[in-house]
Amino acid sequence: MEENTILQLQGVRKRFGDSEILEGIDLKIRKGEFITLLGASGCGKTTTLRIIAGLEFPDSGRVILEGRDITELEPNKRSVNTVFQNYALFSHMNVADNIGYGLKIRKVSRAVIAKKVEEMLHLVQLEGFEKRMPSQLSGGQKQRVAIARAVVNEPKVLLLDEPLGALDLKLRRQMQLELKRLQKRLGITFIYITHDQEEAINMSDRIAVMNQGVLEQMGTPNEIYYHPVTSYVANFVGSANILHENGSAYAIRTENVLMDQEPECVREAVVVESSFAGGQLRILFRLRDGQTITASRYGIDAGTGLQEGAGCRIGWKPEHAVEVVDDGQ
Amino acid sequence: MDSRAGKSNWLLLAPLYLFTILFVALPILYMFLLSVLTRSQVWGVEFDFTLDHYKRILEPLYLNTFLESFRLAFLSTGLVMLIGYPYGYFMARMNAVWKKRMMLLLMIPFWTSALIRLYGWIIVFRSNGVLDQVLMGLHVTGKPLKLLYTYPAVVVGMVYALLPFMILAVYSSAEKMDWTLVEAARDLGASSFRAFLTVTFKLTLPGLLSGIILTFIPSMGLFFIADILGGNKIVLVGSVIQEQLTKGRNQPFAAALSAVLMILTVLMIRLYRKITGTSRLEGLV
Repeated sequence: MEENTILQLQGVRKRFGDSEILEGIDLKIRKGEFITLLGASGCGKTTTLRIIAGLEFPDSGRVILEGRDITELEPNKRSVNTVFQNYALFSHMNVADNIGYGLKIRKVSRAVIAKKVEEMLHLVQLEGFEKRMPSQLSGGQKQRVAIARAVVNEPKVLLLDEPLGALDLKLRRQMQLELKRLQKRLGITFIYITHDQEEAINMSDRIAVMNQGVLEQMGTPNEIYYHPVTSYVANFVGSANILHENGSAYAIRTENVLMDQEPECVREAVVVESSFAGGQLRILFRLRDGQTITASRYGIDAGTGLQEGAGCRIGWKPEHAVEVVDDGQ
Repeated sequence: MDSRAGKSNWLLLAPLYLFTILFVALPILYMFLLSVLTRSQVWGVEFDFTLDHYKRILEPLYLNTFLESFRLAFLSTGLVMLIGYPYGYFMARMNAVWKKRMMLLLMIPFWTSALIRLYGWIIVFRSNGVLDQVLMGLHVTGKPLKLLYTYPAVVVGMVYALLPFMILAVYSSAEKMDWTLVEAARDLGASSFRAFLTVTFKLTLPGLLSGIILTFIPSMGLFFIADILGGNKIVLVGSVIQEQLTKGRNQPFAAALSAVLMILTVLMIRLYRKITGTSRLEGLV
């Protein structure tokens, strides 16, 4: 095991009734890393998180924290804290009592709790909110309290279950930056769950893409984006064409599809349709062998002169066609 | 504009006000009025103001009856709480199918008259009855316990009659519990017992408190349980009121007893709410 591995999952399996939620997850997370578990809903990312937290126990496989097997350990005995998706703030306690809860349980003295709570409120920019009740807070404020309540316990790993899911886009962007800054400042390992690929790419040191209980690929945002190993990853992160040629499958990002004058344009194609949405022009081509390819360009005038039904030449640089395993998705 | 809206509101609420005045306020006023009038020789009352009925309540005989009633009410409420809280709590944690089944089990007894169900207890408790036969058959006891017409029989009857109210009150607040809060407490380092005390119990307290009130008030008045299962050994305020009203034909004294019972109960609830600091009660107030 590498020196700086803080958390490791080994062959973690879990089933609920007839459905297999996790089909053997292996994961190594380094100390101080910002890791994102990325996947569509139902892919098993939340279950993975709950197993790390101890709120769920795996059917088989091991969870190892700092070299110690914690698979069977109760959640209160683990140096791991969670920021829950719906915040899960204690509705009968004010902000200060919510944040101080974990310390109070561990019998930390009142004076120390008060001091730490104050520090936390400063950290999440909620000074003066001590006496507010959760029902008097906005979504973003609840979010900050939930983070403070977990972080104050100085966990070795902080788990965040789609913490920004309920916020509007603007606040989401702002909180993404804040979370990233907070993680750097505290040096705590973050395991972050999201189904938003953009969020994952913005924040993570490494991304683990999950699909139907399987870890499809783990790597830096760059690796995931430019070197997807499966067709699922290629399509989930950004948008890609999957082209079949000589028994192999290749992923080609829509923005890497070239048209007309470029020297790489060696394939004859017909324009099937073109559409403009969200600042992006998308043109669908049909190749001679019947396969379709989508090209995307920014700006509406990028594809002027391409009439539907018109013939055209397209192509791509060899390094932009990445061989992938086609898992049919 | 505003006044018109106010007017139509008032019209909508009129039936409610009318009902409250007719069936709540007027009877109470009538009761208080009766309690300061004089009993007539044959039947009814004469309009002579007197406080004698209230003075009479201070006689040891009646004071003891009040004391006895409160003692039984406290004991029954305590037992109902001990059984009803866990029952309602676990019911709320069951899956939807089992919740429905348990609810049905709770409701079925209500399809039969309360009086008939009490006579059922007589069959259970009487000498050589169902309970005795089972206990003797299992060699737990050697001879009949003769439980009927004893204090324990009355307590069992009270608990039996009042338990559903506690269960439903606790269930309704436990049902609304967000169980991820318990997970959050566990995640933050609390043992399951600690998480229960600091989160679950606190959040279901409104249900428990209204359950206590829903149990305590009726238990002050359920005299027929003491009559049927306790013979005439245990006399509660309710029985005295009923006797004064029917056999004694002393309407004013019965009204005075009722008034005192009502005032004491209200004071008790006031005191209780002050101690527990509850302003909000599940399904009440």
